[in-house]
Amino acid sequence: MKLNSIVCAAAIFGALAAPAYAYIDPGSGSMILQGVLAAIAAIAVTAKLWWHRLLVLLGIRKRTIGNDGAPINAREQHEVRDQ
Amino acid sequence: MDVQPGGPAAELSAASFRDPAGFMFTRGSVLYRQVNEIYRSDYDLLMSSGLYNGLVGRGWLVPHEEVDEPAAAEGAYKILRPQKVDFVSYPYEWAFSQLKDAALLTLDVQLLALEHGLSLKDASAYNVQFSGGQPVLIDTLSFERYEEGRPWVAYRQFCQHFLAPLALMARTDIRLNQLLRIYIDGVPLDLASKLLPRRTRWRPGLAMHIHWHARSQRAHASTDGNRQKRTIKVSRLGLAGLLQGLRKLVARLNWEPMGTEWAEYYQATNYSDAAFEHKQRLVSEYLATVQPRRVWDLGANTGVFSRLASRSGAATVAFDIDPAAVEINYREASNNGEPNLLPLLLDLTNPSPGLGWSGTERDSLLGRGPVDCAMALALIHHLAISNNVPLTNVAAFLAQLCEHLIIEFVPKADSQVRRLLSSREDVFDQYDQPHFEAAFETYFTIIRSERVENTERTLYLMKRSR
Repeated sequence: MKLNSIVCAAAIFGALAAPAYAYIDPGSGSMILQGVLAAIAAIAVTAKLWWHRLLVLLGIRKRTIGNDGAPINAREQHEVRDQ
Repeated sequence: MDVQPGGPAAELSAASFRDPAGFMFTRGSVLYRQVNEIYRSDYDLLMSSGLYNGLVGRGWLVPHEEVDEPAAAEGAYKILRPQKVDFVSYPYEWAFSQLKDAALLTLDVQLLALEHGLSLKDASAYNVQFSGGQPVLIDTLSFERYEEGRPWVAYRQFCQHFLAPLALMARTDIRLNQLLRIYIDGVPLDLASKLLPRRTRWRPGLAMHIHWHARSQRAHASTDGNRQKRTIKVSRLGLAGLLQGLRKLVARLNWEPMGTEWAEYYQATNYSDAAFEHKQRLVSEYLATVQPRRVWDLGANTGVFSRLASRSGAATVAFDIDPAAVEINYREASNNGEPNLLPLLLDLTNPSPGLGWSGTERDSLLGRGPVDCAMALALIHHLAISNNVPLTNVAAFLAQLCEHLIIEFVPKADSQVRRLLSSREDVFDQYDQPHFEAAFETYFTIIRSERVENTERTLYLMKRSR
């Protein structure tokens, strides 16, 4: 992806918020990229959620996805770290 | 809170000065953490939100107690006494899986923090230590109130401290973990991007978090002040998705020690089962004589002899130069749940120096000693012959590390030494048992020495003489 389009996407998906206190430098480039990646992730999670809701509605699948888009057992998942 | 006028002086830690939220100090050999007024609301939220209990309950955060101890500097809100870690280790001393487990811990902590309305404000690999065989976050002041819309300020640091070195170790070369010793704030992403194989540009996770990340940093390196004051808004959903994505990416990075020439080399020993058992018995007897609280096994290989110490209850660090041996040792310790054993990577001919600000931020190996007992089994020939270190220098170095020493002398007649000498001229006239004993008796008193059955080797127990 060209960097210009990254910046455009950041402008589209990420409204600019108030400055934040941070004792480490979060890095301008890192923050901008994070805005883009988080927007993509949010779209993906939302799409997944709606897709599952549709399947549940059609009776094809049982409800296994929480409101945050993560599987219902996700909270237990990260209690056991991968070895 | 007042600063104490008298009493034992507080000694400020050389490793905690960046964060204005507080700092570590010792007073009368007890370790404390001062929480500053500026951090009051975040600290109170950490404690009241249930996050502290959740983290400590899972063994993810070092527990502390609030104590009525005078402050070490102005501006104190509270003084904490955190549980002490047996041995402080650094990311450049960790095997691949240790860095990976520390990375997963950091992400898991951040995901749990978000559920409680807090967020990690840093993601330094130096905030993770190994305690009781598990990685644990040691920086209680790493949390801040999460505000909806705020990006994760530690995203860059996480990628530099964890993701980049792990990717380089897994995809380029395991030895690139040593970049962490050069770059104290993690591997620069442009460097990681250059060093990773080109095909990683087509792996979505590495492409986004390393290659695009490096390009984005370069493109915005000179962003003006006004722009820097504004930050990108990141939804909670997006942030959770980003973190889950990072977690999956890290969990999939792997490095297998099996099949490398080193790992196979370690399977081949030159002594019989009877000799091996006798050596184990002797080491156990020597350890029982010393009854050490802390042991360093130097040249520990995969930790067979280290376990004699750790299983007897001593906090044992098993050092080895080979990343494959340390990896195998860590996996075994982790699978078995061995709380007293910490495998670490170390080149004894170039041990970890003091690093960071004024050369004291990260302690040297010697600075973290001395220990009650060091073991140097099947090591002396590697130092004296492979590295041309005179026996007197080896003795002088080991005398700085330990009070008691269990050391094996491996003579020239031994097949391993013959192998080392097969490709080079024998310039080691003084490499023999009398010279060995004379060199070590300058610094140590020999308490016991016994020939290991069916071998040419002798096992010594020594005590430092001054």
